[in-house]
Amino acid sequence: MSSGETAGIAVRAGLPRERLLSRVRRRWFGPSQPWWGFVFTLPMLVLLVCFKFWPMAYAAWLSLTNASLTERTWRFVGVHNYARLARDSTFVGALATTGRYVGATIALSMVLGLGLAVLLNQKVPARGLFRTLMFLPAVVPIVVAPILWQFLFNPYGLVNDALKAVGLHPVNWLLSSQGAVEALVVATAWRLTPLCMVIYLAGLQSIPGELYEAAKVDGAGAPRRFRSITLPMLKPTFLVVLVFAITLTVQNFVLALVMTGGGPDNASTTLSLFVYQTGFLGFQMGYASAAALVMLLIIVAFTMLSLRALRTEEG
Amino acid sequence: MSLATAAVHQSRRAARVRAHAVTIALLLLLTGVTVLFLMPIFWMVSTSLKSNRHVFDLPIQWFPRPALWSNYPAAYRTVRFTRYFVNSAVVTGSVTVLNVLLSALAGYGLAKYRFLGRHALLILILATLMLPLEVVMVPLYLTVQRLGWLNSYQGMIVPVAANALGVLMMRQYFLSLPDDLIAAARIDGAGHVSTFLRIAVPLAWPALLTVAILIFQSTWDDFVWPFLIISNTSKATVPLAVQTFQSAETSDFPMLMAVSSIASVPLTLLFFIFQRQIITGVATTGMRH
Amino acid sequence: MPRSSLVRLAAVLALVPAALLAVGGIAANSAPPAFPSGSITITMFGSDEAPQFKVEEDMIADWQKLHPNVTVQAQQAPLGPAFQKLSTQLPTGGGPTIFSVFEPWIDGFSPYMAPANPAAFGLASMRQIYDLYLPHSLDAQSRGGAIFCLPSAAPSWSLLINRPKFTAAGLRIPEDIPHTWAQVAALQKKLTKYDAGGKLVQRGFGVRYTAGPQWYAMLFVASIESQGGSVLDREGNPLLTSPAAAKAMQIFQETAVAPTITKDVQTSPYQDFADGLDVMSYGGVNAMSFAVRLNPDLKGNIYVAQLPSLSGQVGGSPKYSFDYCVDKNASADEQFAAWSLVDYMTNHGNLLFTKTGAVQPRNNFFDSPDVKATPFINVFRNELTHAQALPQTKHWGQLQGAIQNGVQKVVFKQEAIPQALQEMQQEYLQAIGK
Repeated sequence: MSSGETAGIAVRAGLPRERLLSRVRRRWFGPSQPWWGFVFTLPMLVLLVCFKFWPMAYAAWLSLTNASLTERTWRFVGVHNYARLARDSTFVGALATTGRYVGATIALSMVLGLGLAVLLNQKVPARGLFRTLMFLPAVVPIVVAPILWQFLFNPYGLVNDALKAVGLHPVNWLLSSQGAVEALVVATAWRLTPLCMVIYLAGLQSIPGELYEAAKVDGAGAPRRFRSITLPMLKPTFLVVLVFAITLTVQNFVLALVMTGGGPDNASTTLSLFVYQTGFLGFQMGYASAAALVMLLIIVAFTMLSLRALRTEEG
Repeated sequence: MSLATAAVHQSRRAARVRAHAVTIALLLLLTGVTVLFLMPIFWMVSTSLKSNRHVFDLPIQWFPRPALWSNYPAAYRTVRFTRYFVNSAVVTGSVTVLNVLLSALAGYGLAKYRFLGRHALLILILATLMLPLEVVMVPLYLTVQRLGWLNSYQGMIVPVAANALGVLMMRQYFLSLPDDLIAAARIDGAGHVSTFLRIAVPLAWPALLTVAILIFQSTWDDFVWPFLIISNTSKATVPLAVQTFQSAETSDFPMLMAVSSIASVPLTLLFFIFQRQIITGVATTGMRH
Repeated sequence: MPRSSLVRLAAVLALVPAALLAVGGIAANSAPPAFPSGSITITMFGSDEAPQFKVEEDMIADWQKLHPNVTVQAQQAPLGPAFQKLSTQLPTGGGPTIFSVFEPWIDGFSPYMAPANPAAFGLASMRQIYDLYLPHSLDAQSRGGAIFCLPSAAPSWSLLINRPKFTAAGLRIPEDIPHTWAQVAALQKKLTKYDAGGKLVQRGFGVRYTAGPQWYAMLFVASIESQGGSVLDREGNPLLTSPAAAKAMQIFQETAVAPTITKDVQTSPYQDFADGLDVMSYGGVNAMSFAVRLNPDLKGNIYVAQLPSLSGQVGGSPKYSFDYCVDKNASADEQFAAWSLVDYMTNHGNLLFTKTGAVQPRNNFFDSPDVKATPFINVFRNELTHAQALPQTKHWGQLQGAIQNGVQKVVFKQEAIPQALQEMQQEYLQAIGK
């Protein structure tokens, strides 16, 4: 309801004080009781404050100190950690690597996931079985996935054999600068695609079937229907898939840690691996917190842009 | 039979044949994609039936001879799986229910009510998704310690249920639902909460189930947090069981794969049931215009 | 009574309590404090490995029979997550009473470790605990003359040779066994074989580049120290561009044969040796048992020799340890019980050895019959006595990371050694914030 409508209702209800209500009060305590929205949000908000916001604030505070896991006393150092990050070639390299890694992974997963979801939304026999089978990569325990892929990416292994079979050159996957990132992209996308598919499937259910029927009657072919109906109606879903994909890819360092160790020579060291190595293996929690916060800010900025780009009239 | 009727029959038959051809083409495509996609899983299951010696043999022996089916009961017994399964079921189930409920509420509030600051609140909530656990682990541990929840189920449940992904998903889904039904219910005098429960929730069933699956998957697989706060193995969850077959110097890969396969079964079954619900559970609502 | 007798009686009477006090005092000082009574609970992080943890559980059960008032809750702890758990719990005042650390973590966690309590060992002084062990074997675990951890395993690396494959190439044991890294590089040509399709099927010696950085970083460090050099100077500044470092780096450059062809992974580092791909490999006593577990045909077919070094003399091997430590935040009674348990477990190292091959530098360990009967135990013992200790630094994580990248530059990107060493030095300084 727009404020005009609210005012209209107020006038109809005969409330002369409506003109005296400040904008804020109207937006919160108007007749449609928008403040209930906040009430609904409150339980989750409480949980998030206790278990997410407070630790985040603590991490932000840590980033301004020289906190170390092994020292008992810490000193406030202001923005020293951030200045150090700017000079740190490993960090800057990790930024670039993360950009490439995340970009490639989410592009691959979002496109493949959409394709699979559309395919499995059709009336194909045994589609329930297919959907479940396609979900399996997400079900395998995360500690086992790197082992599977390490073996498949062995220089004499399945992936290179497949490449040779179609006439391409075998790639030095895990021990070359280029191949290591590509291998990580494949392994991550393998796990991410089914999850994207699931989200897309849910989104596809919100598109009324009548729209497709009407388009068919009008003579629109399948690609046309996809472009004109499916894609626009999936806009709200795109945002969820994007946020989900970014979150999963950016936070995941187990795959990189086990498959490549960040190597060779830091070629596959992502930001989250850098944070882990600095904070835990290096004990420098203050510095690691600063790196994590930079990471957070970049992603939040990106998410805000996406929110704007994928806005619908109501959103 | 008149000429017109015969022509109609003919065109109908042609249409059926075309439809069949399309179906068969789709099936072939799907089968091919599935086989390609599941290669690593085939290797995992195949390895679980081998002896440790032949795990990394190249070229890959897909069908081990002899197939050591005994690895499965052996793995189950070694790890005392039942206890771990029960713990995981309790923890993951509780996290899922809690998170879905709170996410639905919050998503509904953010989508259907225009209060000042809702956009900023959304951004804030989304920001909590982006910070890796490693950085917040220490203060989070301190919080849980101060609440007295160390080594407890609630310590494994409540902090993990604080996951904003469901909020985003539900908000987007509720946004795509037209306001008319809700407005109608409110004008009829229904309270906010009953409108939510009786109108919004049934409509959002696919999204609710999807959130449930995603949260279930990530919680079931979570190792770091339960390991951090549990010191009594009687409360340990399934990922900890999987870890016992790995160490820094040696691993029993067939057993590891067998355990992983066993650990994957509950989620797979759950998904199979849910995915049907997601697709067919959208009752015709009369909402479409 | 006559006065003199009274005086004498008084003197005697006065002496008696003094004598009693003196005797009682001596008795109190020489009798060690008794094991605390009352119900005590201690928690423990055990080994990350199932067989070793099983042995620990059995030992705990036996110890508990001797001390029924103590309850022990032990947890098997995978190494990486255990580190995260300790880093989170110890600074907040929590943490298990007994925890296992990997030696490089000792410096980092030392603020939270309690020194050994001789009374819990049934001994009178710290010196006597040192006497239980081989000389200099507790250097890494000591700070300021006090012991803060005791090893549950203290491996060093020796050369492992696949005897059938070695002799099949026409080489004789022991005459043709390499003692220097240059000899290893020379033998590579003789032992490396490719099949008709161009795939590598055998290699002379394989350095583990994919099983974790410690497998070559520690070798690098030991090689520098075996030349009499140091990795860090007294202020902690790195000496990674020294001539000793250059010679150490040459080892990797010269012995690398098809380093990308490997099946070694972090959780199975002996895979290539067990598969027969590497004719020669390296590891501790436990390596033999792991390899045999993977490939039973190797039983009795592994020959062990001294690890090659730059000079050919013994001392080219690093030594490191996994240690039990006691939490400083535990109560005095809990600490006492904990140290008593640690003493018990390290005293029965031979039990651990039979299942896992873990070596202890404790005197009674090498004298026990199981250990004495192990083939090649003298080689391992000699190696351990001359092995190089890791540098004691809080920044081992960053040091290892820098070495990891430096070696990978040389081996996988064919970078020139001086440049790689220079970059290694810069990277380390940057990582520690200098």
